[in-house]
Amino acid sequence: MSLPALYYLVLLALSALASAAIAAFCWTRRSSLGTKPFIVLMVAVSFWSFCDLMRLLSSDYSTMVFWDKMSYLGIVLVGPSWLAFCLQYTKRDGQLNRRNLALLSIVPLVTLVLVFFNEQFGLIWTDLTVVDLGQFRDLAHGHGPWFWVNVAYSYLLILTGTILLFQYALRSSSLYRNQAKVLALGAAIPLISNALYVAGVSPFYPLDMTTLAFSLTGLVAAWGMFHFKLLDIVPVAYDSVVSSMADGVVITDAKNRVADINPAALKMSGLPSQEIIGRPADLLPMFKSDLLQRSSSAIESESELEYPGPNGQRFYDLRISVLYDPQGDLLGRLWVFRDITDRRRAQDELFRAHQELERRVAERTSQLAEANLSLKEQMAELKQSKKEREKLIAELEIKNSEMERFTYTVSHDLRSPLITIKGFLGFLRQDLAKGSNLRTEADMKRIEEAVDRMDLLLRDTLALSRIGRVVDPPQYVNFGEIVKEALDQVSLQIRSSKVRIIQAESYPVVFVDRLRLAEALANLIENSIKYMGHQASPEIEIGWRKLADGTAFFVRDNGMGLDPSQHQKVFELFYKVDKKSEGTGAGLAIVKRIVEVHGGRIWIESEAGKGCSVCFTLPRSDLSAPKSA
Amino acid sequence: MSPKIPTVLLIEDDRDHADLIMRCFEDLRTAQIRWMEDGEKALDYLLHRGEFAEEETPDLILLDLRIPKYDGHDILQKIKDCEELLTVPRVILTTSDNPMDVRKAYQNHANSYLVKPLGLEEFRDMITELGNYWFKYNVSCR
Repeated sequence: MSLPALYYLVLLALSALASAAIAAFCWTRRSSLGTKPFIVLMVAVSFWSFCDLMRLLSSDYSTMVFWDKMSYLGIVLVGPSWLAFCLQYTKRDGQLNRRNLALLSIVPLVTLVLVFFNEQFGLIWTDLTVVDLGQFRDLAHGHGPWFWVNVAYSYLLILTGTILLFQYALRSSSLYRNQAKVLALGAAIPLISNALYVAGVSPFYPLDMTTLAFSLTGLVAAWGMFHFKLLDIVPVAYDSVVSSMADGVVITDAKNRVADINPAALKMSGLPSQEIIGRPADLLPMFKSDLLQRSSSAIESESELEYPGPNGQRFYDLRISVLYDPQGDLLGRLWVFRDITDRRRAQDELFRAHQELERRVAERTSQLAEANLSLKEQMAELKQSKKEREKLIAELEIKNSEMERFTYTVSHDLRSPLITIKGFLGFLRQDLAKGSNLRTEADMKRIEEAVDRMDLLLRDTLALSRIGRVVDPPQYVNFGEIVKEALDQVSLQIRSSKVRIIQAESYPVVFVDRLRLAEALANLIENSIKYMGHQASPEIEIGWRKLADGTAFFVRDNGMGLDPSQHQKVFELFYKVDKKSEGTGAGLAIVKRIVEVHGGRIWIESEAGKGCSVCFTLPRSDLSAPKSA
Repeated sequence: MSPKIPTVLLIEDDRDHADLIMRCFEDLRTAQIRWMEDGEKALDYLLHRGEFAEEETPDLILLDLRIPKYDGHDILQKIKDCEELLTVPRVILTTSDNPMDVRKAYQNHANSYLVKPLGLEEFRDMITELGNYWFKYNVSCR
């Protein structure tokens, strides 16, 4: 049962050093939640071990008692610091408020007071005696009542913490379960060891192995924590990330290792759960791209990800939350992959439907625009045709009133010889009754002349009515040829009246009813001869000049001229300036009609005694001519 | 002292019609006729111009519408402008029954519009009535 004293001393020294080392190591990672109470625990264990070592190395009683008392500075801290560690680790650190800390401190403080004033109260130790253990000496303790209070209190705290760890391990995901189990098992070691020592049944009795056991716990806990690489990753908000979530959740640490992954994300990756935890995140297929690099600087981000998973191409809405500890140091990232494939497809479908709709709207719009255009054209045509119709109606009205005037004129002029005939027939009857042969002869002559005149009137009326009704096809002809034909027709009158004919050097080509125009021209020449008066050197000029609306031709004479009051009247049917002149007075009416049928107009330029010009236009042949002609 | 025979100025370009009218008046002896063949001469007569300077103003003007130089409407217009002549009754005697002519004639202050009848008897009757009306029943301001 005796242990080589040196071994024990070395173990104590190692325990002190190991605990201090763990504390120091944890100090470098103090940002992780739960690390600080653990550091306190390790420092306490280290100090406890150190005091034990010093006590054993002391030679005199009072020094031994001193170190024995000093060791309580570490002992009283073990229970509370363990509980604090467990509370923080299991995320119950909300309970570590000042009030609770003060309450927790009551027993340790009382214990310390009683330890350092044990000589007065004797509540910790009833007697302290030096026992020789062979190679060294130690103190044997007779325990007072408060000693047990402190033991029970420490046990209570340690047990409570350990139970919390176990509970936490049971309801944690597999990831944290192992770590919690290791921690809980670690906690059991000193409990068992101390229980054996306190009960006096320790195999190493009277040597107290509790400090060694706590060091061992520290080592185990540190191994557990850092082996699983979890002390620097706090499972913040893990409870809220339900493993049954439909969204894929991946937690990576600051070094981009997979700290946790939920079933949905595993399904996405097609890997078994355990393989990937603790390993670099880029082993996951969805991190294969430059996703990690891209999001390394992102603080909080949301983006869309297209990922060819085991179930075909799928779309994800990726939200990255960056996790920090209260000190503001980066802990890791929370990656939430929400499958939006259906939504995306619906969106695509909607987009296509929208495009189709837009296409149809555009198509229909263009159809409507076309229809509108054609409607506008139709309306314009309708307007045009209405305008033309109105013009036609106006023309018809003019023609109608002309026709009416013509009818009255004709009936008036035809009635005239009839009145003569019937009147003189009455006289003839009287003559015959009286037997006046001389008067009979004269009156019969009057009747004959009236009949002849009527015949002429009827002929001219018929001639006029034929113009425009019986049409010879128009042709291209030099106006000079028409002049020649007209002059041939009136050659007899020209010779007898000794009129000098002046012609233009050249004439334009016209597109006309050649015979009719020659007839009209002959009529005008005849008229000029008729109204030449007593001109010593009669002249008739047949010329032309250009006008805006065509070419004006004229027949000019140096005869008696015409008073402007007569300029319109001369074109009326059967109007005669000189009643005694030959003919019916239909000549100019016929000429006017011929010119109008050709689309031209006719007018007189004259003053009494200064000769007369009858002018008429003919449309320009280059405008009316068909291109092929 | 026998009453003065009224003077009728006949403005008619148709010689035959003028003869018809004049022979009717001759037979009836209701008026003496001064015949003018064209409007120019008739106006000279009415306005006592040139060779007609000494002529008296007629008691009635009987005029055709379609006559050379100045037609019946023109003459009516000229008479309208001359206050002295406005007291002379103006009777249109023409072959035209064109309503436009009728309207225009009355607008130009014609006092009556007659259409030449067909037949000597009818002509004589008309002249008789004309004479009766204007020289027997109608009160002239002359």
